[in-house]
Amino acid sequence: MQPKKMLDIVKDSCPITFVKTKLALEALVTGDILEILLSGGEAVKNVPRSLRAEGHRVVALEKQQNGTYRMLVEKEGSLGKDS
Amino acid sequence: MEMNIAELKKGGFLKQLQKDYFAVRLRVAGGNLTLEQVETIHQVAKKYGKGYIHLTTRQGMEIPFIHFEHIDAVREELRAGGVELGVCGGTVRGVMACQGSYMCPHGHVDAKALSRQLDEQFFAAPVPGKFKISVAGCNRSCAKPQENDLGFGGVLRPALREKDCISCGLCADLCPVAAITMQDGYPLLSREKCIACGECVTACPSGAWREGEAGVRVWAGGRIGRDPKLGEVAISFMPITKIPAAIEASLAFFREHGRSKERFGKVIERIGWEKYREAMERATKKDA
Repeated sequence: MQPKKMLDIVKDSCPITFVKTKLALEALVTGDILEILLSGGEAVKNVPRSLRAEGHRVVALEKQQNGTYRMLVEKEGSLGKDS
Repeated sequence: MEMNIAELKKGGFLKQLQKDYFAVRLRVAGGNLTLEQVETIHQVAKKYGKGYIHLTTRQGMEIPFIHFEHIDAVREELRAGGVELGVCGGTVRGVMACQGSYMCPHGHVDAKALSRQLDEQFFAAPVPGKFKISVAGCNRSCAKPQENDLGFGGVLRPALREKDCISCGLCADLCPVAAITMQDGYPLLSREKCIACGECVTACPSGAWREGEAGVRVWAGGRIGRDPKLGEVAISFMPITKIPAAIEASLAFFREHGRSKERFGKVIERIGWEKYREAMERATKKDA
């Protein structure tokens, strides 16, 4: 599962974290994988959940040694957006 | 012209310092007003008031500086535009609510819909002292259920669908009471430690943690006033359908034991939490 693109939002705060992720995903096509580096706390609480709610699939999420998280998200287009 | 102050007060007219002027309290359920209602309030305030509206601390609204000669006209014009008057004195006040699960990602129960339903059912019910009710969608408590005579907060017992779990361990990291541990790559929940806050369900990136059962936590005896005190947990998990029964039981307890103008929490403290909890238990454990 090779990421098409990497996005670092470790230094961003909500809701910029989500906006940047959304824009990065928009530039990809369905099925592409986006790798995201994000901080613990509010970001990891909210971003993965929000992406799922938007119809994307969180494939993996792992905590790094430094307390940040690395996440792989598969773009699923508009699937499930309004459900 | 004769004025019956007590009658006026019950109907939501608050006497001002200024001679012959009253502030008119409006009925607002769950902090929501339709645009039609806002338009009505705007028109009435413009015609009879002093150019402004006062927002109360409990999501209510008041039109200050209504001259007593205009009281009937104000009442009728508000009513014609879909706005009812609020209440004062020994009554159940407007029911407060946060946005709840209808809009808020954290909400576990539809606080707005519940507050409308409860307001419909209990608004203005007579009791010895003021009685305030609030409904919060989750235990983040934005609607301050602990500051009300009776407060409800959405809680969630989580259930795991293991096949959807991606073994990320986020739930274990985020659980505020460390009720979740990762065992062989999957989360294991201690039902004993779980406080049903639902954070695991809210945060789960794969939807493996889902709603097992939604309910409410019930707080009672909260108040601000001269002797402020947060409400205490009366029932830690209760099905949503039991809310009306819990309110009925509390109002009955208040009516039976309360003195005039006494706050509910004071009554419970005087009579005993044990007795109150027993009454609540009896009323809410019955089959629906």
